[in-house]
Amino acid sequence: MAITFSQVFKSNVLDSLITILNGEFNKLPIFHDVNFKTRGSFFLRMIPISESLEETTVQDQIRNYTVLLKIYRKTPGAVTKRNNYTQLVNYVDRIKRLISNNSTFKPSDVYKWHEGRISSVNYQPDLEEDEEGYQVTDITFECTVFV
Amino acid sequence: MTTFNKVYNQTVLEDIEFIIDEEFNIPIRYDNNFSGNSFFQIIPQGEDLIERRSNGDIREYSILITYFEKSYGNYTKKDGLDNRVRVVERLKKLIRNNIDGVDDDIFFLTVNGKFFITSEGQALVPAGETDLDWHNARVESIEYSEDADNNRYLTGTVDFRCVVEEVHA
Repeated sequence: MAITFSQVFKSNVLDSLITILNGEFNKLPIFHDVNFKTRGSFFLRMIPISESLEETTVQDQIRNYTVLLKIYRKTPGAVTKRNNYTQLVNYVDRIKRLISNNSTFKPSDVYKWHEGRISSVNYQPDLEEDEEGYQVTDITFECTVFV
Repeated sequence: MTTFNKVYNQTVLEDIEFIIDEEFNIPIRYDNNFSGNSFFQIIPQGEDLIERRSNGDIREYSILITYFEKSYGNYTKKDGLDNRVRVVERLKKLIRNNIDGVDDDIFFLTVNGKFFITSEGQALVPAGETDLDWHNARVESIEYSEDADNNRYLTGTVDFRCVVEEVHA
C-alpha cells in the first residue's frame, strides 16, 4: 500500500500562488516551461527552485519554499524610462504588495503558507539567446509552510 | 485591484533623477543610444528584502548610474580621466549629502505619543501622512572604464544603493 503524503509544493505553494496571481492579473498568462519558449509579448514564467528544512519537530516540519517568477515583456521601439522601466517597476511593486497582503495565505480557513514574501528582484538577469528580445525581470518568492 | 505604493519609481528613481538633474547640467538617459559629449545613464538593477514588519517592508534598492564622456584623440590623464573623475567624485559627494533622501526622515508615533526614528521592538504606528523616502543612501563601488559597445566613450560607473522603509497603510 502506497504511503500517504501531501503534495505540499504543488497544492500549498504553486497552486496557491497561481490562484493569487490570477485573481489580481486577469490578463497575465502564466507558464511553467523549464526551458524558455516564446509565449507572446507579455507573460510570466513560474519555476520552482528549492525547498529547505527550517525546523523539525516530533511530528511535523517547517519548510521554506522558493519559486522564481520571471516576467517577460516585449517593448518595441526606442528604450525610454516610461516604456521600459516605469510600467515594469510599478508592476513589480504591485506584485510585492499583493504577496505582502497575502503573507499568510489561508483561503476558506484552509492553511496554505505563512511568511510569504518577495525576497529579491533582479531587473538585469542573465539572459539566454532566445530571451534577448524581451525585457526580463526575475522575482524571487519565498514562503514558509508548516507541513 | 491591489492598492500599492510605487516605491521604486516614485521614491527611488525619481529622487535620484531629481538630485542629479539639480546638481549637473548633463542629460540623463535610460537607453543605450550614444549621443552628445556626455550623459548619465540610469539602469535599475534590483532590490532585496532586508526585514519584514507587521505592516510593511524594509528593502534595499540598487541602481547603476553610468557617466559617459566622449573621448577625443589620444587618451591622456588630462583629457581622458581628470574630468571624468571630477564628475564622479561630485556625484559621490552629492549622494553622501543626500544620505537621508530628498525629503525628511520618517518619524513614528507610538500610541502614547512618543516619537521614534525607528520602530524596532515597539508596536508603532505611522505619524499620519508620511512622505516615504530612502535612507542609508551610498555609493557602494565605482568603476572607471571604456564602454564595451562604443569605445569612443569613456565611463565612470557608480553602484548606488539605498534603503527604503515602506509602510503599508
